[in-house]
Amino acid sequence: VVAQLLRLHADAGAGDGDLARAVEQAVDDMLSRGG
Amino acid sequence: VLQLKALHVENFGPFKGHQTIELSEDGVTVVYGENMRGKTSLLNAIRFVFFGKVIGRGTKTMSLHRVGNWEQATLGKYGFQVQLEFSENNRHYKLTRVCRVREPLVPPSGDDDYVVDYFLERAGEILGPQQAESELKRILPEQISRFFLFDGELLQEYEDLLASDADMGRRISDAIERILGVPVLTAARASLLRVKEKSERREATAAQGDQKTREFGNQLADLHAQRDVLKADLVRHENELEDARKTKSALEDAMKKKERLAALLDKRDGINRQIVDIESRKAAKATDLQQAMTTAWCSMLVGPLTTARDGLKKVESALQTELLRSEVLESLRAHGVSECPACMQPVTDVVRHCIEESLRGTYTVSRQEKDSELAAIRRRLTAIEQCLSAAKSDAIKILWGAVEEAAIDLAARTEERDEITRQLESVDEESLRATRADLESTIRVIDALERGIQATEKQLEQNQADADNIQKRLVKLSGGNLGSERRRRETFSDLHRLFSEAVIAYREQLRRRVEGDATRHFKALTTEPDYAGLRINDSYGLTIIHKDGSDIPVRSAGAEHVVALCLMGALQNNAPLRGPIVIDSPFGRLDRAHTRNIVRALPTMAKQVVLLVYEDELPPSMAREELKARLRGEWRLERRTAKHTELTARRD
Repeated sequence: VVAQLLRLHADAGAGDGDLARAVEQAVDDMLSRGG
Repeated sequence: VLQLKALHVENFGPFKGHQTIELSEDGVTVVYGENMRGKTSLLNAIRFVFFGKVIGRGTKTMSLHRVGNWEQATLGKYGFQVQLEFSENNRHYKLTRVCRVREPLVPPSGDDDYVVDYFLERAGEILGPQQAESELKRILPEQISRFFLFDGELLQEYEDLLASDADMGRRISDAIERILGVPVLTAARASLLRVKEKSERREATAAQGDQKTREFGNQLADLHAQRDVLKADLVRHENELEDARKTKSALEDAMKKKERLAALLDKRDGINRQIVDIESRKAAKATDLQQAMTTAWCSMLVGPLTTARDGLKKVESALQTELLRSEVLESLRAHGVSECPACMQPVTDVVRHCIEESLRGTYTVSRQEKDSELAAIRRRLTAIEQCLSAAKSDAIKILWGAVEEAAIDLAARTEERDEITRQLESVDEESLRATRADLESTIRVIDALERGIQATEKQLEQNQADADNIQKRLVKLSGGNLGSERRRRETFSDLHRLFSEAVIAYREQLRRRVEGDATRHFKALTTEPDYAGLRINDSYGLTIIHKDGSDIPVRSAGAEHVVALCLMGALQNNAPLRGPIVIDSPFGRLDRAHTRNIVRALPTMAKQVVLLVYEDELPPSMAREELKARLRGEWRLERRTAKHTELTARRD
């Protein structure tokens, strides 16, 4: 997840609303997988 | 890795018509040109094609109207074009930026008469405007371009700027962190904070949904609402602070321009204050003088009074002696003494007879009359002494002198003030005073905002502590989907903490790496064997360290230059974004030994280096000797006319 978060932010600008949603999604996916 | 391949310029500065310079993708390309042949124009052509800007003296943006070739302009041809071929991660790009006249039939007179367009071609395909813009921002963000494209002047500014607390210093530190990739972490931290707060709100809502936890849920929801308000306040105040700082810096610039006038104004204000002081001093002395003058008539009589006093003193003394003598004789007669008590001589009958005779002669007037005569003389003496002490002619002279001196001083100051007023006549004094007043009030606003921000931050800390407290109590309870929301919130919280700590750790690691690399470059560049290396500070400023461990406090212009170059090299070594270094006249301030060291070290600082130099600062023989096989291209800026330069490959 950490690597995924870093990639997300390396590819996009800061303060992006979609970015927060993508972060939320990544963590929720991990939690739903029981991570 | 960004690598430049070829630059095509058309009617840009002194480059008349269409001209091309091919750049080797690795190693060093040297472009030789004497002053005013177009070295800076070549660097500016790269700036223009990337950012649409041209930078002039003092790192200020230059008017595009002045950039087009002057010889073509006299022929009625305006506008210019630059095309850059480059590769980034093995993909070929062609970036073209055109500056053309808005109305082709009307000769332009300013920047508003031009239109600038650009096109970006990637692997033979032209990108749409939005895609082109985001691609360009990704390849070379303008904020970090100063680490790739720079000149001696820009280099010179670095250390000063980094050392200062000025806004520019902060911006450069930010740009350094940007090139080093810190924003990836800080942006991730910001996203995680937003998501963490959202998850906290969700947890509060879940708690509100259950009877057992409702009270805590409500309290948490209130605290979150309060936090939102406080954060909005903080953002607003921070924005206001940023604006106020910009205003302050603009006002300071305006004040600097008016510095001479402001100094004159200050001087005049000072003189006005001095005039008020002198006037009050003069008035005080004049009052003293007036008082002294009421008894000044006494000084007219000093001569006769002194004579009279001296005469009276003689009379007083004679009278006193006479009275004393009679008193002694009287006592000798009265007591029938046989021996004088004063001189121990025997008082014979003859002597006694003499005393009788003498006393008879003395007492022609009575003793009482003599006493009253003496008292009268003493009264007269006292009166004369009073008159003489009031005379004080010297004091009057001093007072008179002081009043006159004050008058002269006053005249001189008034003349000086009037001269300044004449110099200020053409100046809008009011606007100057208004600028100064604005600056003072802006400083007060900044101070108030900073205090406000501190107070809000404290309130936010308290809010966080209160929320943490309630969350701790909630942990002991469960119900509904509270457990899953808590787990979710804890995960975001952990991730946010992880990224917060990572930012600190990464910054520290970067500083150590930049310091290490800068030191390595410095040791290769410096000619001073006693210098052991460089030490970095929080804002990436570098200090030279002596081998005995002490700091070198003062640096020459040449040393500043070398240190800044080391910082550039170290940043290039540590940046996730690698690119070329294009330097304009970097050796002007350096001696031969340093120039030689730098030329030798340049290929270790970046994969591709383009040097724009004049032959005196870097003789071609030295470049060839030091660079050997790493010297990949030599170009010359050849004069055709004062307004026309040709780019030619050097073949000698």
